[in-house]
Amino acid sequence: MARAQGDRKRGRKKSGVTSHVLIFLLCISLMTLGKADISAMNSLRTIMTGLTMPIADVVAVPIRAITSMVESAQAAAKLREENLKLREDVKRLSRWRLQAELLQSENRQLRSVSGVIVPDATTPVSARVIAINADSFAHVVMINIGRDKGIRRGNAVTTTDGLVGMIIDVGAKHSQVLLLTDINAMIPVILSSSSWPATTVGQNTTTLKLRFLPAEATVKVDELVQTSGHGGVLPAGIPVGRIRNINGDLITIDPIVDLKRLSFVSVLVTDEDPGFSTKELLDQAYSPLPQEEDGFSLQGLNALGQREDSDVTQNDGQQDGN
Amino acid sequence: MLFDRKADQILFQQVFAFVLLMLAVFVESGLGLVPSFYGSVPKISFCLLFLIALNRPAAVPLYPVLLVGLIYDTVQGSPFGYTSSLYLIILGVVEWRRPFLIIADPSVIWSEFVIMLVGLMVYIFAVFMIFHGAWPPFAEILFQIGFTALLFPIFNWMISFGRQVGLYLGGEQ
Repeated sequence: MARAQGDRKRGRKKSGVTSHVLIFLLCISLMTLGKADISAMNSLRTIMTGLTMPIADVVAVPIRAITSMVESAQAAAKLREENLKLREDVKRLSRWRLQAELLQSENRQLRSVSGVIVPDATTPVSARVIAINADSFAHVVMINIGRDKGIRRGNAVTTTDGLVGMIIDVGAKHSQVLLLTDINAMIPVILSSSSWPATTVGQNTTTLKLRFLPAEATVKVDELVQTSGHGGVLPAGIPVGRIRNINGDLITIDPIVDLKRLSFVSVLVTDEDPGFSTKELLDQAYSPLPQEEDGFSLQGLNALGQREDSDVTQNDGQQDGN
Repeated sequence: MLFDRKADQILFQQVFAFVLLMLAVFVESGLGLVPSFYGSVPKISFCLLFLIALNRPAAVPLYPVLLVGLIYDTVQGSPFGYTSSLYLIILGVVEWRRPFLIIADPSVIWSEFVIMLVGLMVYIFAVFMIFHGAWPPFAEILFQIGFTALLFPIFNWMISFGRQVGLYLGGEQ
């Protein structure tokens, strides 16, 4: 009797271990399938996100309130100090405003003669951030608007400061935003002062790396980096970050937007269809694995997307003709 | 007999544990909004799952735990199955060490939890490198795991306190 009971117990334990191992293998298979970017998996994820979004929204309310209270208390302590600083800033800014107005007028005149292509018209749509990445595995944020507000995959997401990221998944009433700090996020940019093209690459930390910068380019610490518009996915001219550190080839950038304190964002919804499939471009720019061999390099491209070499050849040709 | 009291109790425990883990998942997700925890929220669900599996193993069957992990991955945008695999490792470790841990001091339980966390960290590093083909952000993961280890005694104390209250009110051991 006791032996039979012992056998049953051992049998149950064995089957328990088997099912444990099988479910673990199922998890690994799901991860592999997700990596393969199968559309059924993506659809499943979108549906599940839609279902869980309201709960995440409700749970976030008290946490947001507590965070806000703590931040308010901290802010009050700094108010006096900031007030003095702000008075100084107001004086300085009023001087800058005058300067900016003059530059704006000059810029308008220059554009009318240089024929620079202005990015497609976009409409900003405000959204609230529901969940920010809790893990360092993926830097993804969930927002509370989706197809109902005309959001599309590939739309740029910004704040008043600059670029936050771009839409990678759209549900009926929610969207997921890939932050520019995610390891899969590669943003074509230019250096503001010299217009040298490069690409920012996320590292799943709070900073970005600047890659594919031509060797002859000069970079300065604190220089502004902005979107170049290359590839046609993101509009040009959105501030991305400032150069933080230059250590040989390793250039790090601080995002211009404080991604730790995201609460509201604007999604730049394109008014018209871009006329080409953004999916292919996104798949190139946000491929799950970095493809070093087939890496797309912007080396030698100027701010207008033309190769420096071709300009030189053209000029040479003109000189020969003359 | 129409009602099996023991089976009802287990079902209640399973539902309670599921709700508790789901709550932990959404609280973790919400804590991402706190600037100090950006990208490295302490894993409350690890602590709870470890303690529930240790004290009430019947309350955490495999499939609900798999589902909780999948929901977490959905909310967080991490690969499907990633969090579930972490949860399953925790369950496996607890099941393996339970005969020893069930009679151990809280400090011993805590040290075993920390050792398990170190193992999980190695697994996280490996999955990250395989998945992204790059080095993981060590500082963030270390902060997350370290903070989780620090929180564990609080949860352990809370669960022990809850058990004492339950016993006082006439519940079963």
